[in-house]
Amino acid sequence: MRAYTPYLILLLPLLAAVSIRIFLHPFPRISVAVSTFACLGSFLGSLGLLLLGSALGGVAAPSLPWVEMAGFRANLGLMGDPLARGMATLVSGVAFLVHLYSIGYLEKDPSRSRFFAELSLFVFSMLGIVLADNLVSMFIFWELVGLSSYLLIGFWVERPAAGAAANKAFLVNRVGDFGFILGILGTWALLGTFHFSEFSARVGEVPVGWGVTAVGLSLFCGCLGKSAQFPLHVWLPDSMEGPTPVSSLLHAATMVVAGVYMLIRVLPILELSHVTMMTIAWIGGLMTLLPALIACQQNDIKRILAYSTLSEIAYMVMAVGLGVPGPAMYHLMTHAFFKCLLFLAAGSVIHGCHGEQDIWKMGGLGKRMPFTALVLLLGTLALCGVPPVSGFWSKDAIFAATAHSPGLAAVSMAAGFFTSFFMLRMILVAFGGEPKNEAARQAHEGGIWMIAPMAILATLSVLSGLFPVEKFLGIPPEEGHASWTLWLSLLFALAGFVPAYRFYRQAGHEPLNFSILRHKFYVDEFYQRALISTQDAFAKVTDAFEGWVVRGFLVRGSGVVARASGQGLRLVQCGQVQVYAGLFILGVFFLLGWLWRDGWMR
Amino acid sequence: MIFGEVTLGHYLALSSLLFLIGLAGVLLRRSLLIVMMSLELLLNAANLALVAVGRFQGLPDPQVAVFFVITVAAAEVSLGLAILVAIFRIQKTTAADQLSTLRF
Repeated sequence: MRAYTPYLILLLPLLAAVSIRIFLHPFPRISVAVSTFACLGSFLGSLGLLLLGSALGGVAAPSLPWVEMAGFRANLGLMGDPLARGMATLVSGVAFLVHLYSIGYLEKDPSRSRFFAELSLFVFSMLGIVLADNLVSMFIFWELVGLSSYLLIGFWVERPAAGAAANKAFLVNRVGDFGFILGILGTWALLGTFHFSEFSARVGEVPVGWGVTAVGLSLFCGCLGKSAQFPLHVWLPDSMEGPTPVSSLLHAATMVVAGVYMLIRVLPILELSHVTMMTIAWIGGLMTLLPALIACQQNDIKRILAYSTLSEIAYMVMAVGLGVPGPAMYHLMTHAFFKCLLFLAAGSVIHGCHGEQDIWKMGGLGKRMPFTALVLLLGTLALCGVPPVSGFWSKDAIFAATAHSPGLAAVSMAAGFFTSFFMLRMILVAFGGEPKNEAARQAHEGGIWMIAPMAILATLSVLSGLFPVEKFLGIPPEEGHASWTLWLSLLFALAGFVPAYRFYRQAGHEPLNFSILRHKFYVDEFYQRALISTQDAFAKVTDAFEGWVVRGFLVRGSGVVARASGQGLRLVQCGQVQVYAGLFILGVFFLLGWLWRDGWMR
Repeated sequence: MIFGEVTLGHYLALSSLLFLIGLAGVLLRRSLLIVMMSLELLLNAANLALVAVGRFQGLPDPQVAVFFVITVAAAEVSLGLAILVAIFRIQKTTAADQLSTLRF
């Protein structure tokens, strides 16, 4: 029975999603309850596995054979190793809190049945990624989270921007997923297995060469899409069009870190190639800095947080690239708590201000929403890595890993500086000063459903740095050895607060103006241009094809053939008896000649 | 000696010659009357071949078949001439190349 617990954990949310979709759709209260309790069930199951499983050793669920061909085998199986158990607990726990928060956040939304069905579908898919024991099953769930992300970003179907953002997220992810598929097939070609548990045993037989690098980079492509790293990062800021609980759960705490989780699963393959590891580390390193810079000039409270998410995920990616999965998972866990908290607080602000998201139109919220201000401040301290809050410990572990690559240390610490800068900017502008408009003046706290999850997450954000991470995640976090990186990174992080305080303490409007940052380094514009020119060129080619081949050759050509053969055959039907007789004779001669050739006479 | 023994080959050669003449008449002459006469020539060429083969091989069957051919030919000629007269009454011509419509 114990062996089937992972299946139970996995299938509860699916059951909820399906039953809501089919039966409970017209009854929002029941749908909400079903979805929330399914998530609670998954959480309790995962927690039970986590607490009991470590005493029992690995708990492997029996796997079902799916595709069996000569030389090719793919199973649908779940695994219960410590990493999967810890991650499943984290995902279902955060998801449960977000469920609670959503009850308050979407209190008056008429289509909240649909929301909760989609949320349950997401929890199912995400737990599938976490528990999958091989790349093929993981890919199936990988696509399912893509689908739920699409559905949830576009939840407010009446907003055109939400639909556009959902499409963008889906399409950009497709690009990454294509690379991921290639990587999966390449993995089979290299190792002859899809199972994570067999990777480390088989990599010894693999010849080192460009093939290994290609496979590693293809797998990394999947991470680029799902975890929104350069150059596929453009979808994440736009995904903020979805409801805030969605941004919190999918686009900050869980789904976007699936890429990092996947990289850790395939780490034995990645480690075969130095080039792959360096590419991952440097893309991660640069992506810590770029979004942090962009966030300094954004005005939408959720987009600011979205850019900080990009930056924080990049820290994890960089850690994986440096070959230290422990700090990456450690930061993944603490980040899940504090970033989820930050988004929920931002949602509380938006809820309180009747949908206003521009920080320059808020102001003075500190007095009207003291609780939200407090948790936002705690989340900010955690995000910026101020001791002794959780983010400090996990970031320190990552910085310690950069001790031997000064370039990466420099960019990631600079990113820490700007992170502190834009977070304090956001808080000062939105919560300090005087209210800028009527909505901000009437701001109020949300109900108990919204406050309770934030309180729990705030506690976790503060304390999770002290968790016994090795037990929780099954990977030693590789403690930082109080090297120079600790003090320097701390110095950078604290220094970031100073200019922010100086510029934004009493600012009524933006005192700084960096157009390139405001336009996000023009990446979107570049894609727009590049896409339009390639699309135009492609359209010209297809138009020429259509004009010459389809219309000219096929359509008109077949007409000409029919008319010409009609003209030719019309001559035969002349009505002259003697012509018919002549043709008849010719036919006879032809037949005779044919028979004669075949030796009829002999 | 070319005019010595008369062999089956001579008969068949004559038969082929008659057949070709008849064929040319059928295909090339304009008057339907001549065309019908050429048709008779075709039949008789075939008759000649049959009789010759029957005689030289000592077989009765081809020689019997010839009687059937002659009978059928007589019937065909009478029918053909009747049609010819009917056509002439309507069209005022028996030229084959002008009779190219199926309905009058």
